[in-house]
Amino acid sequence: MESLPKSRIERSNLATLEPHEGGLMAEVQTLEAVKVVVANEFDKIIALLKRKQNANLPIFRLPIELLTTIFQKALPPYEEDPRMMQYTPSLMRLASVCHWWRRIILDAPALWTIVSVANRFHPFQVGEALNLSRQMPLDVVYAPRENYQLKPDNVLLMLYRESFRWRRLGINYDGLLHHLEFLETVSAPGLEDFYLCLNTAIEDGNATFRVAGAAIYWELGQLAGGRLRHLELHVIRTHAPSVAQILDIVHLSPLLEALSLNQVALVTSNHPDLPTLRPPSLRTVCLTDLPSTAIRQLVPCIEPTSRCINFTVENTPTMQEAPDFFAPGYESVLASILRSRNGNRIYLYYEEGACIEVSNGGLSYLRVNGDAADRGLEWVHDCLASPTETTSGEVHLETSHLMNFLPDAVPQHLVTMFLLPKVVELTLNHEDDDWESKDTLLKLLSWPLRNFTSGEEYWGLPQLQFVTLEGTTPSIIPIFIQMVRARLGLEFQFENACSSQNLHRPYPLPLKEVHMHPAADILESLSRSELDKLQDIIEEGGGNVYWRSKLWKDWPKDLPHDQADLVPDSPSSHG
Amino acid sequence: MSAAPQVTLESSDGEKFKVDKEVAERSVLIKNMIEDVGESDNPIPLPNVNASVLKKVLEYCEHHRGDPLPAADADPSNDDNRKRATEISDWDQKFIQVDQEMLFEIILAANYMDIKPLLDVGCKTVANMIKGKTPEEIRKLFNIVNDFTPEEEAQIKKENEWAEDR
Repeated sequence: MESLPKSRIERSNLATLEPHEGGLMAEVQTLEAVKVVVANEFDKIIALLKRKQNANLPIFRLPIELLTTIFQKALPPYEEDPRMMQYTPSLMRLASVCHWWRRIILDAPALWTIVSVANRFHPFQVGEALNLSRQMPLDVVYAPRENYQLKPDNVLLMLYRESFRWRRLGINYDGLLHHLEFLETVSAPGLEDFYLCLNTAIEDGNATFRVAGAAIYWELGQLAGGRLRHLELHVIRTHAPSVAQILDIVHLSPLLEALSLNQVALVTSNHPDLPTLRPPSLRTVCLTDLPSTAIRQLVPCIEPTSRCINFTVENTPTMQEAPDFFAPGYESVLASILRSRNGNRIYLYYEEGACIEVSNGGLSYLRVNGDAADRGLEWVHDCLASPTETTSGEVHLETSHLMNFLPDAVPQHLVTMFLLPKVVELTLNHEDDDWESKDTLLKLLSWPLRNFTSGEEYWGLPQLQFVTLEGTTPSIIPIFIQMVRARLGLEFQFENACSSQNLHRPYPLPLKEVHMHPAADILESLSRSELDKLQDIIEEGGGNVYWRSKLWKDWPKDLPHDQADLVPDSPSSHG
Repeated sequence: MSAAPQVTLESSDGEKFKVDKEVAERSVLIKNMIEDVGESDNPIPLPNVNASVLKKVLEYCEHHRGDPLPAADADPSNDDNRKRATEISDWDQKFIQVDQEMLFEIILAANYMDIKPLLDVGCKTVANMIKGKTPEEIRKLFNIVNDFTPEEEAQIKKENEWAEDR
């Protein structure tokens, strides 16, 4: 039998199906839907099988709390740039690894407490972070970069709405200041840490200031409801607070532990009677590159208690375009800093010239270099001549280390320094070929000197125990030996007005360590016998000589001591 | 001079380890057990730690026997603590250079025996392995398979559109 053409058959079949078209179409749609459901189910089953496979991995044996800890440690802030961290994206990336991690991360409010708006951001992310952190305290970092494309206003509004949850607020911002006016309208009773850096972008290229906002709200003490613990203001050159406003914040923040002002154009206050505060919790104060007028006004008003372990006043004039703003002149407040009762540690860093550190109410470290010596050391002398009183009324001057000064520049000041009862260490690094200045200095160490820091006449020898001599030349060794002998009472001659009655302590403790390093351009060889003699005399008092950082008495006999390339590199015993 | 007091620990697989009490007490769990039960010659059972892991843990405790114990109230959210979050000493780094299986066993043992510094070293090590890596790199590192459904993948992709980390 001849078969019917294919097209005819199809036509015939279609004709029979025509009455059922509606039903068939519905059936097809149902099947399509089933197909989607099956495909979804299939995807889910495949995903479940994969999850089961993952569950056997070693890392999946860790309990949720440990994984959460690991995630926390794996996230910024990184040490190199803690203020510009991008926290949320890193978290989202971790949440993209697998289903289990995603569940843990989205269900751990503690992971979402840092809300970071930096560089590229999306309001969605900020909103999600705020939701996922539930009601936990927030650490807000607001640091959008110049090239952001979205307007930050709506993000800021979201953050302001949650101000009652702020624990830390860090703003590193080069945009418009009017956003900061909003601070006036919010309350942040849990705020413990406030950081504000307005960066340099508020200046234009001509070094004139351009500010597009009205003001910054500086009533931070009220804003934080008295719970502020850290306040750090950085690079605020316009709309800066006044000294009175800073003191007000300190006054209203009894829990304040750290106050740091760096390159802030503090406005001097006209108020005649600024209060003197003794902030009970203050542990560190760091004042860097502030106008000297403001420093003079602010420092005397903050009287550190015994809790204060670090009080730093620094002046590093690096901003060439504004020399008046970063003016020197901090030395004039040194005396008042030093007189601060129980100011436990004070640094003064003067144009890389001088560094003063005060511990437990007394000076413990002084470094002065040539630049500062050129300006005259009267200010150092004034400070040293004014003993610091502790609360018990005792006088303490705890200088233990003096270094780097030019001995022939201001001998009368050096005498004062040497006679401080606790000066025990001296470093001379005068490196030029004028060794006579060392000669003068070493003689000063040989004679009893009058201490005029004390009320009654007092004569004595400097109480040094550790001496480091850079640039040692052969001719200086005999003078050194003579000095040591004089200090041991072996070669003592009165060469000044000291009488035997008022010489309280004729012989100080012997030198414990003498560290010597040869001059760079030493012309004649330094003989072994000279160093041996020095070692003998020092050893008589129980001390030792170190030559090029190595104990001289252990120096191998066959090892040349005057060739730099053969110097053993073992460290000295005295740090 | 009298010898230092010792205790015996018994691993889950029955192996016994005699160690100085001072070393064993780096574990808060053991310290509390000794305090509760008093000193005895009976071995202290550690049913969750096998011998090879216990040996490693004791090696750590021995090395750090004189170290000050960590403060219980250290605030992990403190900035300095956060900065130090991933710093590990040289010795600890060498100590923890083990295969992943052992690494996670050490973490679990430190958690069970309550040895906070060791737990910290373990967690920091894993955190350092993860830090700065893409999800795909992390999966490869731990042999994790991508177990998201296509639907979830699409959602994640949308969420991460703006995520651009350093």
